Amino acid sequence: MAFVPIYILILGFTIVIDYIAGIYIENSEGKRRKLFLVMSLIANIGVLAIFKYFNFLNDNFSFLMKGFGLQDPIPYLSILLPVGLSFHTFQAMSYTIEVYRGNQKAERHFGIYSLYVMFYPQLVAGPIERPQNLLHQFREKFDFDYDRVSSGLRLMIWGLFKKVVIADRLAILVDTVYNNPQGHKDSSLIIATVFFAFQIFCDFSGYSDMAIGAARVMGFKLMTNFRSPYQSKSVQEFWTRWHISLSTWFKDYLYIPLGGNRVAIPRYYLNIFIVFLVSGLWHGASWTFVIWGALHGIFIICGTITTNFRNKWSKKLYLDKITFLPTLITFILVGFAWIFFRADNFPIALYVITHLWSGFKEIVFNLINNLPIFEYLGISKFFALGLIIFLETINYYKDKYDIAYWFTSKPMAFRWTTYFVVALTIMVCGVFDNRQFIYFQF
Amino acid sequence: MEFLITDSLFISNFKDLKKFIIKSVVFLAVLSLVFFSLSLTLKRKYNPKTDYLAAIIDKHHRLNKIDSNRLILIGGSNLTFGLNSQTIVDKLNVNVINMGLHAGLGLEFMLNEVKPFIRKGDIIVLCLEYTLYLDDFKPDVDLISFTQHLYPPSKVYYHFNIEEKFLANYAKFKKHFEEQTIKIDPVFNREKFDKYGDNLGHLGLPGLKELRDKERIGKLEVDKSVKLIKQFETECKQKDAKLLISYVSYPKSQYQRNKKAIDDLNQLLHQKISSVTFINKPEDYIFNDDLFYDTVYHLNGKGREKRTERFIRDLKSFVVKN
Repeated sequence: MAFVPIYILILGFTIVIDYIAGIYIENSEGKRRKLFLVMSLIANIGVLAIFKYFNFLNDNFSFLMKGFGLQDPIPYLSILLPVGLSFHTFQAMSYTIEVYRGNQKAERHFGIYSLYVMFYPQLVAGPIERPQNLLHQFREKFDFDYDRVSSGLRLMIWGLFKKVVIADRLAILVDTVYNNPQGHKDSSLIIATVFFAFQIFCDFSGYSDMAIGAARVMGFKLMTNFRSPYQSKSVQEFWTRWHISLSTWFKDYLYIPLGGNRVAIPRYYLNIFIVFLVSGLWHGASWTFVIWGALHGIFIICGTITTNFRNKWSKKLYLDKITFLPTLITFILVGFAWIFFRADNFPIALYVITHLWSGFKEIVFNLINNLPIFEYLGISKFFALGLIIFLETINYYKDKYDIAYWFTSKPMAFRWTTYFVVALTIMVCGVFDNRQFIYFQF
Repeated sequence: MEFLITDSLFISNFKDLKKFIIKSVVFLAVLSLVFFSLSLTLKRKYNPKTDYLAAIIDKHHRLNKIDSNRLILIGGSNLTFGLNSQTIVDKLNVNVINMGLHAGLGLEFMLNEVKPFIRKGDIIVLCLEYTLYLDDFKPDVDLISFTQHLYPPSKVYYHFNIEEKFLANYAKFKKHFEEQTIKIDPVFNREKFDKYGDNLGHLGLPGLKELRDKERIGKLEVDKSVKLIKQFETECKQKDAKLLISYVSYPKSQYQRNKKAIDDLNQLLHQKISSVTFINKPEDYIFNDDLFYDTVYHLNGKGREKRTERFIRDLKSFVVKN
């Protein structure tokens, strides 16, 4: 993943292709209309295939060819993955698809169309917008609105807090363990995996908050990308709360065209599985990402198949009285899948997985023997744990109440004290070491 | 004009905008005041007995103490975690003074700290991490300010500009509240250095599978570093000391990634500092990744021996001639 100025030409190429394709699609009918759409999709997917997937596919091809005694029959491309490529490509694709479907008029103004693809707050890591939501906003005029600007800035500060105070602090601990899993206790593997779940959430949702906040300051409304995902009661629900702009993209442009749930049951399960495999591949050109996506697909399929069975037995065993149980199980499943997302390669993921049980026993042993949690975790992990609890408390209330309204209705002294505390916490506890946003690489 | 009055954002919401600007200014002013008063009053926690950077005290002690037959090595931590000075002493019969500590201190600091102590007959070898040659390399102000705190005489080796002073103050302010990450790892510890200035703490420990500090060597502008090296060379000549440049050990995987840039850099340096002898080529020090410990510049025990052997081979003729 890299920012190389010359790579702006790639963006320019897809912008020109999609701009022209949009107009031609609108002006054509029948097969010609479809042809222009296909051409636009090929151009977009082609760029992705070259820059993101070529070396991965070649790697696998070379591996297969080794069996026939051939060493690297196709040369590797010495290219870098342009920053945010998957995001703006998907946003561009949604434009031509929506024009084709007749839900969006083709944009005649080249500057406005370019702005739609390159709108800076969400250019590199989303939310992946739809033309119906964003394009028309570029023609509107926004006056300075005190409440709107303040609310945008508040959201940006909250996003910054999540990124530099929580995500980057957790990253130090996670990286230490995942860079050398064999050199750490098994319980540390579990702790690092849990921390990674929150690291990636704060990293990505922190970016989304900043993007949405920055756009709001200027008057633009971007779609919500996260809604307290770790409060989900099933993996299916998790995907309605996590990276919403991507999951709805896949729903609208892949899952439904495949037939969605209006097909025979085996095909319905296959559709789900395909969507999650593609989603895994979208995240990265590596088998670990594919496995991560496949796991989510399997979780959802298994969840759907066993719904009646689980409901029946949880009632019989009174498990339905334990209200947090579904949330906990969902978190464990999602956390398990994160191992593949974080591990640099398959052997590392396998090592972590095969040591989870002994790690769990270590944690239980420490709890039974009443070892003080502070002493056991050490100051850094203890502080990180405190931040996670704080975050999830906020998310819990955010999920249930209008926390923004509650906050703005408080007296000025309270609000300003909060601003100072948050600003000073960012300055004191923030980690500023040029750590990139994880999702920039996608 | 009428358009401006009725439609302009500025005029139509002037009161709101004014309120917003005043509040923002007040907020930022109070925040800055709190920050500056805290940064002036807070003292950073440090432990000169164990802090890694406090090894500078021992290195300077040796630099002062030894007065003849000296081989002074200048560079970052590639020297600390990458050479066996004892072997060099045994094979070349010279007094090694390994000044390597941390690349983040920057070239200016490294050269300035040795400059006043150059003596007749010294052999000085620059073993600089590749990024140290590049103009866009920014010294780590936090590291420098911490080093200056641990070893006050080093205050003259690097002078902060206003922006760096602000960043250094901010770093001090931040570090007051958090533990030193550099202290967490027992390897990065003053007590792990030997008398020559090599760190032995990592020997025998398992290294990282994924090396840290991977870099992409970009923009090949070297004017600043060339100027510093030339000034240093003049000083060496005046004091009848010999200055040499050696390339540093680098992992094969990273070399492949940066091959063109490294080759171009080598060529550029030969053109611009033609009066200084380069005792080897970058490709002479490209080692397998498994010979590295934790970063792309830190060797493990095996790698350290291999590099030392090559270094002695490259240096031998210059020492004998001398």
